[in-house]
Order: sequence, then structure tokens, then C-alpha cells
Amino acid sequence: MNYKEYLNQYLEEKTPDKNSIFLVQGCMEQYLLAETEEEKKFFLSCLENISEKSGVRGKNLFVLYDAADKEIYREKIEDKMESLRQCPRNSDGIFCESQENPTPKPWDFLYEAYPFYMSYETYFHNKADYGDFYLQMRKFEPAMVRCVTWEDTCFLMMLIDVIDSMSKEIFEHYRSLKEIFKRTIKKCMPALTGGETEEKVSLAMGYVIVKACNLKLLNGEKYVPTGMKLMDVPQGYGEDEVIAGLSMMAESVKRQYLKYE
Amino acid sequence: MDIRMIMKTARSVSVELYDGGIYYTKKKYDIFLNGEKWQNTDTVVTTLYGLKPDSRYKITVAGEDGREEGSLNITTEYEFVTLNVRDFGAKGDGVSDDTSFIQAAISSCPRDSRVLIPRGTYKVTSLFLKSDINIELAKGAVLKADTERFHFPILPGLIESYDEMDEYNLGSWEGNPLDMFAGIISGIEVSNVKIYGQGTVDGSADFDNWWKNEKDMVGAFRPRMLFLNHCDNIKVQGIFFHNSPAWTIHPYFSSNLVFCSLKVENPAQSPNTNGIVPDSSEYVEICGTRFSSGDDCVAVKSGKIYMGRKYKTPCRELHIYQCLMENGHGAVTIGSEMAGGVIDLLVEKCRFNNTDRGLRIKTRRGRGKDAVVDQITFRDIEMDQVLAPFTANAFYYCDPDGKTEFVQSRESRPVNEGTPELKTFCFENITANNCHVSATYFEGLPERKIEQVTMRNITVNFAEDAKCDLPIMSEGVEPCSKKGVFMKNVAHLIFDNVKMFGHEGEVMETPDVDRVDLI
Repeated sequence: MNYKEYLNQYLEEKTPDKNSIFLVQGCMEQYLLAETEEEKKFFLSCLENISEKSGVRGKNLFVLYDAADKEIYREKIEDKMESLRQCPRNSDGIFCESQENPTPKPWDFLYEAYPFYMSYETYFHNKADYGDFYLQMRKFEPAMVRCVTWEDTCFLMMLIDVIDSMSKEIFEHYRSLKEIFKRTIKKCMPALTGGETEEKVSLAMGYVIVKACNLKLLNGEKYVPTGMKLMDVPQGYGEDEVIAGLSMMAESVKRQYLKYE
Repeated sequence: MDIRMIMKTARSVSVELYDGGIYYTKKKYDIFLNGEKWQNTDTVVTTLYGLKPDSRYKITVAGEDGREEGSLNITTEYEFVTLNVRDFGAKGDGVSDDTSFIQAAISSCPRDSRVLIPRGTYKVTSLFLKSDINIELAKGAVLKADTERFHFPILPGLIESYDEMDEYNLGSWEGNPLDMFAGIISGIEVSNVKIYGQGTVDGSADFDNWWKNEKDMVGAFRPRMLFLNHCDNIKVQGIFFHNSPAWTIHPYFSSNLVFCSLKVENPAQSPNTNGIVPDSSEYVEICGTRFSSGDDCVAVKSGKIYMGRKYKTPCRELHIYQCLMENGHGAVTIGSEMAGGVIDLLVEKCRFNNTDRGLRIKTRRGRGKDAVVDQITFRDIEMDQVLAPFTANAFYYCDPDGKTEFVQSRESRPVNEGTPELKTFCFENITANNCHVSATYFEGLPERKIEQVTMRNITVNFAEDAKCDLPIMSEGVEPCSKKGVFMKNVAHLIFDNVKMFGHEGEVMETPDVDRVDLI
């Protein structure tokens, strides 16, 4: 089954929820890469559908804002931003459960929230709070030790999406986040190239590495082979929608890389 | 009269005829070459064209009454061969794309030789210079730039080294290493080049192409007309540059540069069309040039914080003289991108007409500790219809965070890694007639005051029908008209024979000025 067949079947048979976040991301990336009107229409429709039903409110809202009804999506964006403004933050500035419980929010929340927040800064807030991101991201960095856990992988997926949503015009902040990303990836490389990793970690890390090469954060010549190898796991458009979403994301970055190779 | 040679090529020479005039000579003169009348002139910096290579000339200057005022002997430079771009296939019909033909001539040109672009209109995108050659743009020759942006190559901002330890910077936009379309003429690490002649470089920019939605980066940032990246010993003489997509002439990390007898013209409403922007460059001479710009005429810069901190390369040892600045925002501006510093700038014997500001210094918190401005001298300047002749603003509200509390707060903040420094400024023998807004408006940072400002032999006359406008661009500053001297957060102020006529309100306000010497 390919991803188009999967999506058609998924939309008929399944009810999207917060676990669909990677499917949303996959549809978004495929839409942005689509070359024909037919493809664009297909992926936009899937994106709208899954976003609406799952309640995923991340960077997808900005893609939909650009492509579809600006008024509707602007309202959703402002609602989401207001909820983030109200969200408690711990002493490191990171979104947390409550003032009494400074534990950072879980990764599915952060993976959705931070790229959204950066997109909001870029689109509507004139990049005024870009500095806030560096202060928070550097707090995550010390914990990224082994870089083969799912949590570490989520951090890198979040960070690459944050960087992808930035304008380079505030160069010093872009550069700071790029440096955090590079340092973290380098720490990961021994574990990634050395041993076996969980399938979804392998797929996700491969996606992160190749996407970073596409964004010129990493040298493609040096890193793409590792990224491609990591993505060379049985990609599944089956029961596991996390794997399905990651597979679609992986295909999109591969396609983008090969387009310019 | 003092006659001094400024620069020469194999085919031209620029001289300074100093009779006490500023940009214009006090009277018209006839110029003779080897006894034969060559031309007349009314500008202090005068360029003679049509000379022959490796030839001796006696230049004699006489008044209209025939009396000799001075003379100078010169020998033009050697020239090996001339490569005519028509012989390389360039059509000059204004329709065909002549880029590759002219580029072939440039790339093939041997040392000490001339690429000649004769009369005609040559449609081009980007031309790249080569070291040790001369390019003559003859009278009636126009390099006319294409306006389809994706016809231009892109210069990437930063390219990381293979070992990931270093980087290579090609493109630049407003002080950051960002992708830009290559200049209409670009020099990348070239040296010993002269570009001269009576021809024109037309950027073809307009409000339906490059100047439309100018803040949007589509593909890359807008190109310059002449972009010199890490170049050395480049001289540009006589050319008329106009309708630039963005900054007109942008020397970037370059040195030993002469810009002489140019004309730089962009419409008043055109965005970011600064005239000459020396950017982290040193030993720069700008003379005999006439500016009319949609932004600052000369803007001296040295990058934003990333470039300033990494490369620590100030703009230094600049000499601007015998120029005419008309219709721009600032006649000579320092900043706001000055994170590498600006040291030793001398501006003398210039006219500023109808610009918003004469001297304009822009900075703000966050530019960095290497953002040091020092040894700035303006002397023998005449200004007319300049809104505010002398301004310094340490609260310039540029960049997305420009209006935040961090930048705009007038409370003293700790001096840290982000705090810029304004040191010594000297203004001498300056007359500013028909001013409108304020005589001087200097506001330094409370936590790091402007070190010293000296004003000597200054006369400011306000226009009767003076306009009301902001003296500096910062939050909390009100528009004003006929305002006297305002100096705030200055450590030492020296006023020696400073006169002001037609002002309203207080003559002088000096809040938070530590020491004032009135001589």
C-alpha cells in the first residue's frame, strides 16, 4: 500500500486524534512538496480533514492559513496562541503542567506547541520574541545525552521544525538554535551509527537528519547517507499510525533531497 | 589654486582643483591638456577622459579670463590591449542578453588591459569582475539590468566548511550573512580593478519590480548595483549609477577603495536605495560624487551582532570629501548596523542639500560591545534645507525588537555584551542654513554615555517656514520645529563659537551631560 491509498483508507475507517500528529505533519510536508495541482489538492484535503478531526493545532494551522480560508484559520491560530500564553511555564520558561508542577509538558504537546509558537512569531508578531526560544531550547540540551530514546528524538523533531519556521533575518537567534541542533546531532551520531535503534526512532532520526541537510543545517555529503540508512526500515502504512505518519514524513524529505541532488 | 591628482587610469585622470570651493569651484575654469583646450569645469573634483595610455600630459587650469591658475604633470598608466565587448558578440541593442558576451571579455582580459564597453545599451544580469583589469564604460554605454529576479544568480549567505569548523560568507543583507541575488557587477576576492568612464549602470528598478513588496524575500534578497566582497584596491570613477534595486554600491569587507566623480541617483521614495555603503571596509575614499537617494547617501556600516561578534571588523579610515548629497534620509549616516564598529571617519568640504539629516548616527542596545564609534570628524561642510543637521540616536527603533522595553528604556541598564559605545565626535567650520527641526539632537545611552562631542565654528540658521518632524526615530520623542541644541547622556560637551538663529524655545538643553565647556 502507498501513502495515498493509506490516507484514503484511514479517513474512511479511522477517527483521527492527537496520535495523528505525525500524519498531520506528513500530509503537510507532502502538500508543500506537491508539484501537480491534483497532488496539492489531495494532500490539502487530507490535511484539512485530519487536522479538523484530530484537533492537532500546530504548524499545520499556518499551512492551512496560507492555502485555505484565512479568516477561519486566523481565528484558530489566535485561539491557540492565547492558550499558549495562558499555559504555565516553569523557571526555565518551558511550558509545564502547572505552577506547582514544573515538569515540562509531554512531548506530543511540545512537538505541536513550539513550531506553532515560532510560526506565530514569524507570521504575526514580527519575530519580536525569537530570543525566548534560545533560552528554552538550551535548557533541553543537557538532557540530550544518548539521543536514541523516543523523547530525545521528539526534541530534535521539534527543534528542526522550529528552525524551519524561523526567518534568518534575526540571524543571531537562528544561528544559536542551529548550534544547539548540531551539537545534539553530533552527540547522537555514535549511537545512531553504532547500534540498533527502535524502528520509530530510526525512522524519525533519519527524517530529522535528511531534513536538516535539506535546510543546509548539516552537510548533505557527510550526513545524508546516515539519514537515508536510518530511514531504510520497513515503512508501514498499516495499523500503527505513528509509523505511517513518520513514513510519509521520511518520504517527503527523501523526495526533497533527491530533487536537488 | 591647489591642483592634486586623485586617481588615474590609462585613459582618464581625476584631479582636485581646490580654490576654496565645496563641490563646486568658486568660478568656472578652462582645462588645457598639453596646451590644447580640453573642457571646462565648475566642480572641484574634475575628471578628464579620452586620454591615451602611457602618455605625458600637462594639465593647465585657467580662469575664464585666460589667466593660468595652476598646472599639473601626469603620465597615464600603461595599457596592454583593449578587448571590445562587441568583438565578443555583445549586441548592445537593449534587447538581447549580453551578459555572457561581456563576461567572456572580462574573463579573457589579460593583466593591465581594458575591457571596453562602447556606446549602446547592454541588457545584463550579473557580471563578475576579475583581478588586474580595467573596465571602461564609454560615453553612451548603458549596462541595463534585467528585472526578472530568477534570471540572477544567488550568492548564498553562508556555506559551512567540510570540516564544520569554519564558514564562507558570500551574500549579505542588512548586516546579516543571507542569500542575495548577485550584484549587477560583483567582485568576489578580486584586486587591482578600475571601473571608469562616462557610461551608465541602470538597475532598472521600479515599483512594479524590485521595489514592490520590498520587505518580502522572494528567492533571495535584492541585489546591489556594485557588490565588492573581500576586494582590494578597487577604483570606480565617473560612472552614473541609477535605479538601484537596493543599496547601490556596497563594498563589503574590502579595502583600499576609491569612488571618485560618480553620480548616484535613486528616486526619493525608492526603498533602501542607499548610495554608497562601506561595510566593514577600510581605507575608503569617496570624493567628487553626487548623491540623490531614497535612503541615506553614504551609510557607514559594519554588520549586525552575529557578523560584528564573529569577525570584529570595523569600518575604518574613511575619507569623504568634495561630495554633494541631495535628497536622502541622511547625508552621511553611521549605522544602524555597526556591530563591528566605525573608527576614523573624516567628512570634509561637502554640501548637504535637502537631506533629512546631515550627520546621522543610529545605534541601539543589542548591537554588541564591539559596536564602537570613535574619531568621527566633520569639517568645512555647508548644509541647506537639512531638517536636522546633527543627530545621534542610541534608541533607534530598528529590527523586530526595536520597540521593546529592552531597546527603548531610558533607565540605565547594566553594561553588558550587547552595549554599543559612542566615543568622540568633532564638528568644525560648518554652516547649516534653512534648518527645520532641531539644531542638534544627540541622545546617548544612560549606562554608557557619548564620550565627547566638540562643536567649533558652527552656525545654524532656521528656515522661517520650518517643518515639524521627528528629530530622531525613537519611541517617546515628539516631533518638533526650530528646536535648539539638545544633548542628552553625553560625558563631555565642548562648544566653541557655536551660533544659532531663528530657534524657538530653549537655546540649549543638556540633561545628563556631565561636563559642558562653553568657549
